[in-house]
Amino acid sequence: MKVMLSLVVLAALTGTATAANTGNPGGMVADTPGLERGQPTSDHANPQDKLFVRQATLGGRAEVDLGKLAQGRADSSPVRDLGAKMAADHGKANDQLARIGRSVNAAVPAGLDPADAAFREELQREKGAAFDQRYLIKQIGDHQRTLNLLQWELSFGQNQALKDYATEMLPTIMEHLRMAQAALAALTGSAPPQ
Amino acid sequence: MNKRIWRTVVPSLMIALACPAGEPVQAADPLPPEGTYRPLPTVPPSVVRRNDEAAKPAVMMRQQALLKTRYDLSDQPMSGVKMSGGRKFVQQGVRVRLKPGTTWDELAQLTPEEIRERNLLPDGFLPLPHVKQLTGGQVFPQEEIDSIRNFEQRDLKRFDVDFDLPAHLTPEFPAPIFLTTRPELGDVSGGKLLTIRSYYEMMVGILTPVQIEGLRLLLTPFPQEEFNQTEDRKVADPSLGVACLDCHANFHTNAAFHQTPDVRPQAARFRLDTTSLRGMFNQQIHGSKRSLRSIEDFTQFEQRTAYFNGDHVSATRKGANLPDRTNQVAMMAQMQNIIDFPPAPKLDPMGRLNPAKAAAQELAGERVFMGKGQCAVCHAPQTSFMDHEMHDLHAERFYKIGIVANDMVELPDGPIKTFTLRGIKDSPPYLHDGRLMTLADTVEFFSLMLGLKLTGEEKEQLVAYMLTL
Repeated sequence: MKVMLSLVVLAALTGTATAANTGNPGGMVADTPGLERGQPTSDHANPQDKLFVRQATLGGRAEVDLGKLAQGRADSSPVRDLGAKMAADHGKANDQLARIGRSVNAAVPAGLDPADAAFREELQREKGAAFDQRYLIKQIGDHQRTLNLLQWELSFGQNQALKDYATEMLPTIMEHLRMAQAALAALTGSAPPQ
Repeated sequence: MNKRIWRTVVPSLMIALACPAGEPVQAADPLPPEGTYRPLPTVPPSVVRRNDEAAKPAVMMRQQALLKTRYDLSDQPMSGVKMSGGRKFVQQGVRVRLKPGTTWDELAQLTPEEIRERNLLPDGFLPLPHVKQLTGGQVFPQEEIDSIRNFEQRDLKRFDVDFDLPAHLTPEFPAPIFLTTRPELGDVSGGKLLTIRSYYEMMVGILTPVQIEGLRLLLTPFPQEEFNQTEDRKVADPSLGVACLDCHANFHTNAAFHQTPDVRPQAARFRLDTTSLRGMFNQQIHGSKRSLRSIEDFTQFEQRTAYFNGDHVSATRKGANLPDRTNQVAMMAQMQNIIDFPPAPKLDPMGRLNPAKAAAQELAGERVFMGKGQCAVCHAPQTSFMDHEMHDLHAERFYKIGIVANDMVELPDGPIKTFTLRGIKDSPPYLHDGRLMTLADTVEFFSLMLGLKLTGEEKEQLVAYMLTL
């Protein structure tokens, strides 16, 4: 009963209207409404939130783009399947991020990030197992990076909807990373994930 | 090297490492710096404090809700069994809550994969979040805060969080002190806490001059991330800082907690329960993760790690104390190296139970410990119940990684140092992050992790045995 009661009170205290839980004062923005009263709104965005939307959007775009390429061009069917899954999962996540991120007004350039576009061109020139290998190595690096980006947003972001998005995405991205590592292991004989 | 591999694999690896002559590398943007470094505050300290204080009730209630979901935190003293100073009862029973509809015996029959897929691992076996994960930092139990305020007029109370475990689940306070140099004296604490004001009278005539000087340094407060003189602090007034023995009270532990300095970003850092310094003379590696090879290295670098989260940049700004290696550090180390374990009269010189003194249940427990339980593989009796190794239990075999609990990402722990089991009844909570409240919890944890399928009787025998250590 006590637990139930405290959970109810907790829900009341941490509902949508409550304070953003920003850990380090470096993550707080001075113009956050309610800050002077000790009641910062949780829908305000700090610079980290904006940067997160930019980086996560660009990363998600590359996932979809390269995923589709791999779906059509990969040599082995597991890698084609992985490409299809990446395109589908990240497509959905990108839509979700676009909806949440709209209010944040982050500046996100159009198209692929130049680094991803350059990689895409190189990948297109590859064939067979070499294509699969390069795609998987890139996938592993990109998902490691995304994992750190999501945890960084969780650590320093202020906008609750974006932090909830990061929370929701983390297990999926962990799973993607394992899948890419397992696929590379199957292809090259590298150490599989634990 | 075959041409094909040269053309395919090597360039992709080299892109990250170096720019081949002529062609510029199109590198992706790096991750933001505050993933690693502590950023400077962006709002005035008065505003930070107002917001932290307003948020505190919800922060504490959220943590209490998580703890109550994971554990039975009630006061269940073990009849007749006290810690070595005789000031607090050891707590009994398994406190980790099972998922509804499961039993320990049923869990033991499942594979790690089945437990993970069906989400059946008790949440109390997951890494335990800091009371305010995203802020982190040192949090002291109320007894320590009160004592230091009384004896030193120094404030260890944070305005943003309180200690989160009930007092009956923490070590006795103040803990007894046993010295390797004066074993005939027994506990030399006299039931008092070592502080910068009390140490001299308590120890003169017992310690050597260099030991006393080491002790003085271990009791001297130095600036720390949350307790310092800058605007970036979590204590109301500018603070002199904290002392080593504010956490390692009387060279034991008072269950003050912190976060690992060895992991980033902040959301991924695991909680650290203060380690006892008893038996330091036999310990060859130091730090749960860092595996520093001497207590001198550890003592020296704690001024950047325990004090500043492994951020030497922040330490420099707030006032790093850099103890002199050949003089001060050596004395601090010598003092730590004479702290003995509490007496264990049932153990023989090789660390084995003396059959003439031990009860049948305790002897049975030792057999499980040495055999089916596999405990002694790492906690070797002849080397003070440790092995000077780090091991990875791979607890993540049993749960899906990446789930967030109170802002902490539940991730694999990786290799962690083996801790001694000598005097183990004196130092709850257990594991490096304090996720287990009682010895009975540790038995259930290792029985599941190692697939031991221990019977109820064997589990009770193991607990009885550990109480003799």
